[in-house]
Amino acid sequence: MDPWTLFDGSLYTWGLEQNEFQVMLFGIAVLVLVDLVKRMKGNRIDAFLAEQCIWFRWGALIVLFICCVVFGVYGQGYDASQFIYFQF
Amino acid sequence: MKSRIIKSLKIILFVGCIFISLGVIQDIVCPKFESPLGLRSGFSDEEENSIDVLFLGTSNMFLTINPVLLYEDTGITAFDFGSSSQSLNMTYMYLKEALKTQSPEVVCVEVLASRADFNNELYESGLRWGFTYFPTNIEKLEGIYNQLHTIDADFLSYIFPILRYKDRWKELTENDFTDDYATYWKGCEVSWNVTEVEYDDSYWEETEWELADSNILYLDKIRELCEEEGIELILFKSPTPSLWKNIYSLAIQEYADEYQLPFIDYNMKLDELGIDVTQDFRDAGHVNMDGSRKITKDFGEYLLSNYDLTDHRTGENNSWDQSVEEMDRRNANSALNSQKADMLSFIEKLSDEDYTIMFTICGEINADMREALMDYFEISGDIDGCIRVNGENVLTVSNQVEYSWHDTLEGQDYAMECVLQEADDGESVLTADFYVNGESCKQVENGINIIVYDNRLDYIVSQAGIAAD
Repeated sequence: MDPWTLFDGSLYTWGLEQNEFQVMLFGIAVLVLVDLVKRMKGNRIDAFLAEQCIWFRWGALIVLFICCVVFGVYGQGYDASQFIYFQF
Repeated sequence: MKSRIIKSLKIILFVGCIFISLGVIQDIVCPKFESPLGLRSGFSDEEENSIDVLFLGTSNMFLTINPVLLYEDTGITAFDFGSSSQSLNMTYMYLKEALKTQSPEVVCVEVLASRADFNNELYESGLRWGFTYFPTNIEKLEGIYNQLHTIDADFLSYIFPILRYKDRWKELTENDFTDDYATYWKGCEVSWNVTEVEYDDSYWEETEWELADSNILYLDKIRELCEEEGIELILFKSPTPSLWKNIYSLAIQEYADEYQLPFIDYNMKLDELGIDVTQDFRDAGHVNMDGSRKITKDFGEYLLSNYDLTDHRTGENNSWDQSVEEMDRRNANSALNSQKADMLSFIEKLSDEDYTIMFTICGEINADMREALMDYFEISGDIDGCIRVNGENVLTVSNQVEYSWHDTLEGQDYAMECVLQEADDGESVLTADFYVNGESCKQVENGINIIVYDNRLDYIVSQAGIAAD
């Protein structure tokens, strides 16, 4: 594989558009953050959130909820049976 | 006990925060329908009980009746409260919504929707256009149920359109965040496109046809509601060579006769009103601005001669007066822009003090043209550029020096710059340009470039350029 394809835009022709790719990177960053919290604080994310002040807790939950609604894959045009695990 | 109350309050507050956040995101991701739906054209901003005549129906209604022209002709305050491809079920829902804040004396329903059983057929575009911006209330829930006849995920997506339009996050533009759709047209749409149309044999064919039961049901509901509220009801049909047939009109006429309602079929009045099938239609389903002007004038005369309606042109500067003023100003601006090919007469017409005018001269230009510019901008001596705001010169540039001017007008970023640039032959030349929000607006490389911006209405009236050679 030509490593230059990672930077010349052809990456976005493989199935994820640029903005979808950015959302995926954001999602991965959140997962890494959750793992870091677990490693550094020794807490699961729900226990960690429960220790925070109400505004942080609510803010984080609302952002997660909105992300699920907006970026979630469901609704018109989505066929659950096409999900990749169902093909094995 | 006290902690339980606090906990309950927190839950309510949290759920409230979620709904508010969803509402904000929903407003952003929902499509900003270009067709002027009454709900997005400032209906809720109208002063209570200020509308005397309410027009309801599909695009056939809001492309045909122009409330601003109607007011200019007759002083009648009217509003087009419709949505594209609206079923009669939705028309009934819109009527109920309108009557919450308005008490019209006359309601006029355009009857295109009666041509088929649209109250039971699922035509998604029409439903989305009609429901998406409708306030969430019992009328909306009833309207959606009467259209879908079931409560499922689809039903929920009409109440929470974010569920349908969430995928638009990929295509959001600045307009989705700053959308302000209120227009001066009072719900109508204007089109200057011209298409030649024809009433072919199928329009006149005589076959058996009856109004669908569901259409009779909603016509009855609309009629009964108008009777209860003491409102006069008029049925009308705009000229529609396609989609409509004479047999449909006959069925509506029969219904109207049964309940002593007036029915005006403009398909039968083309010759009387001088509607030209080669010039007055936008497409085979809708009239254009010229057709609309003729029908609106006739409708106004009909309303004046049959109903006791008030002439609101009392000089109090109500919102219809403001709409007429804006319409006249836009027409004058369009006339100015149409003359830009003749630069001398164009310059002579720039006397409006509410304009911001910018021009640059590069290279040698015609002496008459230069003189006209100097005269208009009240400048003596040789200049290469000028900016005039509200009748006063704020910047004049001479002797082809480098300069840069930058200002913000009504939230738009304007700049005029002249810089030394290296030409193909290696020599340095001064190049002037305008920028609006960073975009170059220059029309010619070498000659006069001029931009006229309307400070009052906040838009560029004209970008003109005349080459030096």
